[in-house]
Amino acid sequence: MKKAASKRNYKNFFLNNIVWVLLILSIIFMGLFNAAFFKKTILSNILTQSAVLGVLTVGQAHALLIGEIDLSIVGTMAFSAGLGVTFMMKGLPWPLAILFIIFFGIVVGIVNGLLITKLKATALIETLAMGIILQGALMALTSGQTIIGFPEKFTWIGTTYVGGFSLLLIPLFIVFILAWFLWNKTTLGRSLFAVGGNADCAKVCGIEVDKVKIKAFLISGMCAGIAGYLLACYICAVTMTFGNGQDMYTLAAAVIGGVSLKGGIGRISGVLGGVLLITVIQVGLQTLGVSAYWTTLFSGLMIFIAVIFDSIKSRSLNMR
Amino acid sequence: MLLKVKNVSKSFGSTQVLNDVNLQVEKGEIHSLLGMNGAGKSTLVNIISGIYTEFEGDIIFEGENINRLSVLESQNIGIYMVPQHAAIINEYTLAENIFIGNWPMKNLEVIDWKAMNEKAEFLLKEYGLDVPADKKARNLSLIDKRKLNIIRALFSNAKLIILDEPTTSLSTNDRKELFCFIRSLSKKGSSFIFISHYLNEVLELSDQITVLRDGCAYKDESKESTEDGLSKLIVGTDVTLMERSNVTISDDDCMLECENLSGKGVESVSFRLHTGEIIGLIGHPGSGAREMVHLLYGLKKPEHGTIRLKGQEISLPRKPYDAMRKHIIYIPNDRYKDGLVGIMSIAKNISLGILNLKLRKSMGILNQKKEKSNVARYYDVLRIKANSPEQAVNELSGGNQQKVIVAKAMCCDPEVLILDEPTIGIDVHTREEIMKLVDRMTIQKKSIIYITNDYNELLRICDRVIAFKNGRIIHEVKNEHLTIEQVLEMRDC
Repeated sequence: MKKAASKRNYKNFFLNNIVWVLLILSIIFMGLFNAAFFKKTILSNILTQSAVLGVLTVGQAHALLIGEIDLSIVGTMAFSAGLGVTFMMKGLPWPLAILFIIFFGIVVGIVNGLLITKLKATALIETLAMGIILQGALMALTSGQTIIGFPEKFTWIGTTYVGGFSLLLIPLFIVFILAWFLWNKTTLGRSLFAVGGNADCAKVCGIEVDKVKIKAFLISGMCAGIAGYLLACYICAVTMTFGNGQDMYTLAAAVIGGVSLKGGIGRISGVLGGVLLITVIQVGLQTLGVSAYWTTLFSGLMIFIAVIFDSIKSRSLNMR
Repeated sequence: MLLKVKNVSKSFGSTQVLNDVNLQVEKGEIHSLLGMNGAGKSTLVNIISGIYTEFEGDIIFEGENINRLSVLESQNIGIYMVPQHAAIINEYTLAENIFIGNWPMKNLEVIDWKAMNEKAEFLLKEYGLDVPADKKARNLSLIDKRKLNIIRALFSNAKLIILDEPTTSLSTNDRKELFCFIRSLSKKGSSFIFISHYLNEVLELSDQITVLRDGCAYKDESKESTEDGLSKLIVGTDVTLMERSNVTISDDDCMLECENLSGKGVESVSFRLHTGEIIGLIGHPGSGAREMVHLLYGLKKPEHGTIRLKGQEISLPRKPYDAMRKHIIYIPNDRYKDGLVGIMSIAKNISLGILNLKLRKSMGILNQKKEKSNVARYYDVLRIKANSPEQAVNELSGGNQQKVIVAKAMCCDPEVLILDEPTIGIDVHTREEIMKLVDRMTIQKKSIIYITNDYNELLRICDRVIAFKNGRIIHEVKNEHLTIEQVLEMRDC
């Protein structure tokens, strides 16, 4: 019996760290086809491209951790960025514009949280609707025009490279470190896991489930706001297709990184691994010259694989 | 011979639940399965009825090996389990429920409603359930739902019907009626496996008795079974039973006083709980006993009333945290649903209750040093058996899981501890350990509210019994040589 238990532990260890195995395998695989893949420029490119997805995925992971989902993140990032830069173009100082973008994300997150906890709206549909509303609002706001011509200081962080690496990596790592601290060292972090693991039990244990959920959505919205700013200053524009498709990639990255779709399970290091893996595959396919028509197919496959891993893992955890 | 269980063993993870169990059921026999919570009764019947198909040993039914049959296949050959909790679809009518999945069809796969209702009406009458067949099942009383479940089993031509604690929420009269019903059916040739906690009814009803204890089966060989002999067999000899200590309870020393407490399902309940006292609450489901403790703990919002703790009035709890801050702590009855976060470690589960009470430093930072020392302390006090405090709780046995919940409650320094069915699904040793712990707490001037359906256990531990009905207290009796019959009478009158 002990043997069976330790066998299960190995299996769990493997499933928990599968993302790193996949990451290394995919890097090697890409390198075999194209040696240029090992060059520093591509490495730097991967890290830079992972910044926006990384910040977004950290937010999404909070929603997943409490057993919910946030499909409004792309709408949130697009509209808060669009609104912020519109104000900036009309004279709002750039530091305030950045703060506004993040603040707007927080407001959307709180609204999502309130609707889901107090009105018991289903997160899947509520956030989906919120996302569509905000994307529609961006179109209405800009009449479909791309906004460009930001002050240099606003886009400084997205356009400056030090030693070949983008400054975007700094906010990325700050967000990850803060999330790690939150998840592992605070009572709120522990409450997120408890609520996601078993909300009924959390309630009986004196945890205020609704407040915890609202905070999770708040963080998700805030991360979307930050990601909106980062993307705006990276591509120096706010377009109509701003961040399109990223919501699905955040799900894939988080789930491959070991965050359970059922809630209550996840590690921030795994989330980082998932984000890197998704980005490696995207950048890899580009450098290999795979037609853009194929990348959607591959991304879909990634999400597919992620969900299958997730269900295998939760089955093995719920053996009893 | 209808059913033969041959050398069956089963384990969950590292817990051996059944160990080389043998059992036989003849045609027309009523075979009772006895055993404490966690002895393996449910596991055994789950194996027989095909819910678990992975085990060692053989199940022979009418001479055929049926080890690998699924629930549905087992039902088709005539093994039917009537679960503890009525598996009735509320939105269906009685007739639809009876014929579920087997609805009489006209041609073109259209359900023949008329034939179905008529047939159902006939069946219901014959089996003594006097309710129109086209009524929605949600309108049935709990008792009628249970009968409906059995009728459904009989309708599908079951040869062996497994009744898992069919009497737990039935009144004495309903119980007698049910027994007549079962006996008349067994005369016609149906066999029953009957699981119950109540020795008297088992002795009254059964042809054969098998006792399960810690996964082993013991056959009651004596021709003249007595309650005494059976209870020795159930408990075993290697367990030292909890004995209630002599705690002096003074009428003036009041720990908790509720006056006219009202809320959903509870109407002006007033009672006092003295320091060092254990009161037992009894009543059928929905009687108000459990609802009352939910109000007290803030799980449901109290509408009005006053609560005094050690003489001081406290505001009515609006959420569990309010009650916890006043050191009123609740151990819920449904361990899996409300008691544990299964995928979390033992340590993290133990800390859940004090997360905000004690472990929160400024800025919401977790005091991990304190958490560690706290976990170590209660892990040892309760002798939790696990590889380490980092093991996930859903890998533990029921008894050890319950210990984790008790540890979690103890961390919160309870003054008033509410235990709601604390011994369901746990082994004998753990049960006695938990009861001893509860007893020791009263010596340290804590007060206990205890809810259990096992009245034997209730009478062993409680100083006073309070019976609930329709949201009110109907009886309040000191436990001085009370018998189970008296308790049943109190509850049912």
